[in-house]
This record gives sequence, structure tokens and C-alpha cells, in this order.
Amino acid sequence: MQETHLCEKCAEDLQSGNPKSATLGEWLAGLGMMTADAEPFPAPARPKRADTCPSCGLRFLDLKKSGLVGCQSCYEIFESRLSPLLKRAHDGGDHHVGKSPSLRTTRETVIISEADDDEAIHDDDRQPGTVADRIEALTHELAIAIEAENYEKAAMIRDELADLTGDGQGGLGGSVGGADPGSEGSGA
Amino acid sequence: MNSGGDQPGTPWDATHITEMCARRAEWLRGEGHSADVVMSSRVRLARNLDGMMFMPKADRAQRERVLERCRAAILESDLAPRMLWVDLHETGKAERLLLVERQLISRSLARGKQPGGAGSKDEPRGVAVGLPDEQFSIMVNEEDHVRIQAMRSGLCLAEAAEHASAIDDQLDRRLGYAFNDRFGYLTACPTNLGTGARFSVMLHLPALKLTSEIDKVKHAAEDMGLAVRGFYGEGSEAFGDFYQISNQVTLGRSESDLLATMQREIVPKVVEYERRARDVMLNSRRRSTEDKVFRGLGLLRAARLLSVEEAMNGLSIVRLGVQLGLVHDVDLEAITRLILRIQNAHLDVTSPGPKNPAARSGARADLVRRTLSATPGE
Repeated sequence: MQETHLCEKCAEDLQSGNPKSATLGEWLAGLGMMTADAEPFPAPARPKRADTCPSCGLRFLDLKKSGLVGCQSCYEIFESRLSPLLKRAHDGGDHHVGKSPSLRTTRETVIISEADDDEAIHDDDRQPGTVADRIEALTHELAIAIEAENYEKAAMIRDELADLTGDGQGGLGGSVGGADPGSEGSGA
Repeated sequence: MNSGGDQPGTPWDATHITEMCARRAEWLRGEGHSADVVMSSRVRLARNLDGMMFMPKADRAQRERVLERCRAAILESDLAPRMLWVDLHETGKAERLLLVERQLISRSLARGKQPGGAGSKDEPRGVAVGLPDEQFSIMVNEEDHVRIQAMRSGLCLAEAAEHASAIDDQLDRRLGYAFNDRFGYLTACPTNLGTGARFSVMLHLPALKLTSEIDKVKHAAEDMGLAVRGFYGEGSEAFGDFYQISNQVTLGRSESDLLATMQREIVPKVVEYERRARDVMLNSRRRSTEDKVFRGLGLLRAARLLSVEEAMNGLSIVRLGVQLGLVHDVDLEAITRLILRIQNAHLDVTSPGPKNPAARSGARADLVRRTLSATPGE
């Protein structure tokens, strides 16, 4: 039998079956005083999940009812509860794969930096994972360009990919400028 | 000023409407790969502005701000030879319906209804249309802040995808999208999360319908996680055996993956089924097929009153007849043009006289009869 020390008020609440005892249970659990045989205290509640998005005021209940979120923060606030719903809606998918806006920003930055030798951005200035992300983004763009039979664009992307993966000979600007329309059809 | 125009500040007026109605919409050009079955391809991207309330929680002032930012970004971008901008909250119902019929805006954007049913025709919202070919439109303040859609005739999803993506890149630089690493592009509805990309094709499947195979195809498509919808998308009827098929999954699969599945696997299979059913109709059921085709043509050539549904069903079967080589004196292009011109708003704009259902039925029958008035075939 577990011995528990309570103040007068809490002991009263406990004996009277006052709903506050649930809060007490949580409090005890939080202090590490709760054990498996510590009945009649209720089992410790799971960490409380947010019911309302603090940014837009949307309740999870409303989200379930309307099927719509109120703002971008809703996805962070309700992430754990949305996860199973998303998996159902997206055939098991719950992580994004594909295009990303930040990658393009990075790519533009690099193109601008290489066009202007005096202001070249050094590797240290770039975000971690930039090159891998760019390769992924370019691979997607390449697949779409090939599907669209836009061989000129495909050749440019392939040159850029070659530069990134170390297979290319020249810089980015040289590769783009040097794309040979006559050779595009065979390789793409 | 009533609405925007193709130059900032130029009103969208009767000239634009007349000019628009005189042209074929890109998605009804009737050309391109597998155009006997695939009417058109469309790619739609759903995007929201970073840091702005999404539509379900945005108040009027916030919606106006989104509209203003998007309008400026779109008109500043070099997206088309000419850009038409329409402030839909300042545009009449007939004009809005005209844009719906041309598939440049959704029905909900035309109505101004917000997700969840709130809102009205006064909700601040707009659309930009690339002219002269109407190959893309950008809806602002629909369910998401921005919905880019690129369209092409025939099976041409890849080119449409590339076009939509290029527009997306330009707008992203100016607007900045809501995005996170796990969920991708953040959308008002979690079913659009991730790529926010919907790849859809409009298919003409009269033979599968007549051979009672259409339900099998629909079920197979649904089993593969695809949505099958009617002529005007969500909630609409499959008038004239036109069906839209699109992906439902947008999270966990890349754009190129979704595109390749639709373009190379799913659509070619449906096209093959339809062509096979057409062969069966021509070779094994020729007499009954001819009967259906010529009854349809007879109705279109004789009727004095035609509803949209009757006209669409007639045009569908005659289109099939032309493609099977049964009807020789009807131009396929004329049918394609009629599909759009018989719709209510197009009739209202192009026909003089009263604008009510009875008058439209008469005007519709006159238009169809005049267009198909060549000597009956066979």
C-alpha cells in the first residue's frame, strides 16, 4: 500500500470524490509520486494537447467539422492529431516530397553570385544541406522538362546537375550559355 | 470602375467579353495527343501567402490585402503577352458565369462563397487570365489565397505542369508562400497539402458509357486514389459523357511522380479502354451505334428548343459518330466550339433577346441547328 501525504484540503477533495482530484492526480504524477497501485487516484493524464490554435483561434473541433485549417500555425499546433488523418487522405504519405520555395531562392542566389564574381557567396554563407536540396529540386525539374519534351531546358538543368555532382567541367554560367541545341535531342 | 483589365486600370468590358467568346478556349482546341479521347489537361497549384491568415479565418480587411498583394504581383510579372485581371466582387453574375464556363474560375469563386458556406458575391476576390490563348488563369481568394491553373488541349499534362510551375516561381519571388519542411505547401484544406498540385484530364468516354463499362473504369480509378468528376469539376454532372479524372494524393509524392503516373500509366489505360469500346461499337454493334448517332444528330438538326443537357448529350454522340467515321458532314471543330457556345452565359452574351430559360432553349436550338445545318450524312 502506497502512503501519500496530503494537505487537509486535498484530502477532503479526495474523500468527497471532488473532480479536482483529477488535477491532483496529474500534479502527483508530475512530481513522480504516482505509482501503479496508487488507486483511487486517476491515471495520469497524457500531456495536454492544444485544442485551439493560438494564432487564429481555430479549435481542432472546428477543423474536424469543416475540414479546413485557419492559418499556417494550425499545422504545427495540431500536427500530431492531423498525422493519422493525413495518412488516410494521402495513401500513407505524411511528409512532403517535391518542389520547395526555399530551394529556388537558394538557386537564384547562387546564379546571381556566379554572375557577379566580385560578390560570390562563399560556402560558409549557405544554408546547411543546400547542395543536396538543390540536386533534389533540379532532379524534379529535369523529370518534368523531359516529360514535356523541353530538351533545351532539360539540357540546362542536366548541366547544372553535373556541376553540382562534380561531373561537369565548367561553371554554371558557362554550362547554360554553352548548351548546344543540336545535341539536346539525343541525350534527353 | 467596375473591374480590372488586361492593363492595370483598364476595365474588363464588353470588348473583352466579345473577344473572348469569339475564341476557342485552349482546353477545347480539340488538338494534341490522344485528342480523340482526352479533351484537355490541367494542372492546378494551391498556394497561400506566408504569414497571412488563411481564407477560413481571414477577415475582410485581410482578404483585401491578400487580393491587393496578389494583383500587384501578378500584373508586375511577365506571365503572358496580355494579362486580363477581373475583380470578381465588382463583376456581374453573367460575366462571372462566363468565366466558369470557360473553366477559368471555379463555381465557388464565382459565387464568392467562402469555405464553410459564409461569404457572398461581395467577397474581395479576383482572377487573372493569360491572353490571348487562355492557357492559364490565377484565382485569388478562392479556398486558398492563390490557385494557379495551366491548361492544354489533349493529353499534355507535362507542358501544363511546366507552365504552372514557371508561373508559380515568378509569384513566389514576389509573394512568398506558406511552406514547411514536413507538410510542404500549406493549404487551407489538408487534402491539398504537400505539392498542392492537382493533375487532371477531361476525358470524353461515350463508348464506355454506352457499353456500360464506365462504372468499372470509375471504380478502378477510385481504387487507384483518383477522383472522378463531371464536366465542371467537383459536384458537377458528367454532361455529355465528359469526365474529369485527377489525383487526390498530394502529400508524400513529388510532382514529377504524380505527373508520370497520370500521363504515362493511368490516362493511356483509360484511353485504350475507350478506344477498344469504340471498336466494339463499330464492329459488333454497328447498326445500333449508327441508330444512336443519327438519332442524336437528327435531334440537334431538328429541335426548336434544347436544354444544355440535351445539347451536350447530342453533341457527345455526334462527336463519337464523327470519330468513328459514321458522320461525314459535320466538322469536329464545330462540335467542339458548340460545347462552349451552348452554355447559358455564352448564349446570353452572344444572342440578342430576353435572358430566361425558355428564350435560351430557343436560342440554343437555333444556334445548334444553324451550325449543323449541312446535308444529313449517310
